[in-house]
Amino acid sequence: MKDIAQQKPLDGAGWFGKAMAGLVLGAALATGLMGVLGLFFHADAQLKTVTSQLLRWFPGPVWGLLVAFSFLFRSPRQAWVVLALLNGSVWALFFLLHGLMA
Amino acid sequence: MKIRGDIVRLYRNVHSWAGITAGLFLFIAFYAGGMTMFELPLGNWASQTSMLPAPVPAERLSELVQKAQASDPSMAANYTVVLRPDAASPSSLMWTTSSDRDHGPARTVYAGFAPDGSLVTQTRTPSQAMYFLNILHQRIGLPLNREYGRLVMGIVALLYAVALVSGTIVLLPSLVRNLFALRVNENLRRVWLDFHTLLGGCSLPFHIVMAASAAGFAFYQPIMALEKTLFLPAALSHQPGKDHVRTGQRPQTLLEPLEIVEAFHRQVPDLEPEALVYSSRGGKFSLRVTVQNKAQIARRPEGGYADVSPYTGRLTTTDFLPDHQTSAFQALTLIYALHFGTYGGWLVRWVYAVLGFGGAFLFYSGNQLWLSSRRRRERSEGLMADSFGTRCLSVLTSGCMIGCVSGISAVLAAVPFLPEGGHYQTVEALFYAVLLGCLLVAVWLGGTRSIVPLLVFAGVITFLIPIADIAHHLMSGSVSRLDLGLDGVALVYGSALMILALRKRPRQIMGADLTV
Repeated sequence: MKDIAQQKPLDGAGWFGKAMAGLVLGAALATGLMGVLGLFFHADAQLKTVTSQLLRWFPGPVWGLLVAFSFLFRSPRQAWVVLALLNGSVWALFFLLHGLMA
Repeated sequence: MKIRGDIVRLYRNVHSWAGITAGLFLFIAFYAGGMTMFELPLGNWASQTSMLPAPVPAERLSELVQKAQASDPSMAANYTVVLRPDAASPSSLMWTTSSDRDHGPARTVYAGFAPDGSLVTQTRTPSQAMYFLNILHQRIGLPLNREYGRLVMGIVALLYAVALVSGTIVLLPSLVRNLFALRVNENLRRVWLDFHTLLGGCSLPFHIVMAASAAGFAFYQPIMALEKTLFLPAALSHQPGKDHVRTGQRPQTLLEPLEIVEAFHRQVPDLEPEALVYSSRGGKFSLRVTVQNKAQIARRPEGGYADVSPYTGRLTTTDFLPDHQTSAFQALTLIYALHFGTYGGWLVRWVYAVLGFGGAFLFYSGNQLWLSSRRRRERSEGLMADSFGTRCLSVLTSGCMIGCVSGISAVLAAVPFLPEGGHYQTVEALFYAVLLGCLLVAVWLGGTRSIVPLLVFAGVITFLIPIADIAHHLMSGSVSRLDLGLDGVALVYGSALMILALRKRPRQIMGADLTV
């Protein structure tokens, strides 16, 4: 399977679907990661701690990187599936931590 | 470094399209952003503050505050005591009379003493021209309000990130071979490409910093709202030393300005307070002491600050006080400082300005490259004239980019003669009128043919800056040193624009014309 995939060169086909996956699911993934990091480092909802203020700068660049690298997926379908799975695990971890810590 | 050929080819396409979509906006953002490096000195120059009430000696500061409060009760809510008056704020006491914060510096009352000891005040609005340039930078050249401006800015910030990542991927495999290869003798498209690569490669760290912080700024507010929902409420633990004296024990009288300064010196002997900024909410005052230390990492060009209790003089937070921050707050300050160039003094500000203008030229060369390769393809397909898309982009590139240069020069040239150094709406109207004029010329003459007349126009407008400045000073009779610095730079820059316009084959060189 992997060998076949490597033989076919990447091209611009499906660029819109891949970019949309990066745009939509990338945003969700970046904010989910921010949420997990915030819980880990005890950032507060009143934005008083420095962690909350530092984390504010985190999702923007991460989102940009995710959109930029979404073109590396083999197909739009793969982009949506992989990013959805990543989102699922990150958000599951977030709600788990949130439940444990609240 | 090895990257698979198909990936490089794919990202070369991504780079062209992301670049071409965002290039026009980014040109304006970088050009105006480079200008904001000099926001404070240019603002002082534009505001012409020399006619304001003179500063009063330190021991009479509290008398001044009391007399001002008696004359204008509205002043009691928010006011600033300037401890070290300079060209920017020459009076010892000032307060604002309007709460309009969307158009830059608000209408301000400046107070001092007449020779007989009575209170004199003067009310004026500081020049809003530099604030307009800052907003032009933030809203990437579009006259949009805060809400829509941020949305478009967010989209462009993402496109910028995509263009940067893809450009780096394209550059990496041939980095050493291509970076310093400036093949002047071969065809002109090659020259543009080498120039684009050299400029992009050398300013890569700057662009990484800008793309990351721009994405941060663009999504600042939605992310803040998200943080409030995602994170847990703060623990109620009491942080010692961070809180005010408890309400019941709080003495009700404010300390005098000199007592505050003394208390500040006792706690922070190494920094010199610049101004005391008082504000009140519900009868309770808070005080921010600003300090200026130009060589250090600061959050804003204005410098750092500490919050001080105006009743006891005790420091309440030092989160943004240079040299007295925790390392985490230092990291936070560094994010701002890296974007605003507020570290390392004037050297870094000049370097940032040059990198900003260089960035603008990077986007100009990117657009020209795209145009020349499209023209080449269209000629090889047998098209004798440009297709509609090529024509549109050619017109937009010349019209908007050279129009932006002319517009900003026009604003600076007009400032000496505008009332109060230019109100926001006046300056905005002037800028967009010039931009639109240039765009119309480009539509009329076509993108490539309009480059020479537009460059000549930009050069002439730039020459008008020193002429207007000197004419204004001859009429009012004073010349300060900074004006001459600005005039000199404008002269050199105007000459550069003229040389570009009038050299032998300007159209081919500036436009990468490949009709042959």
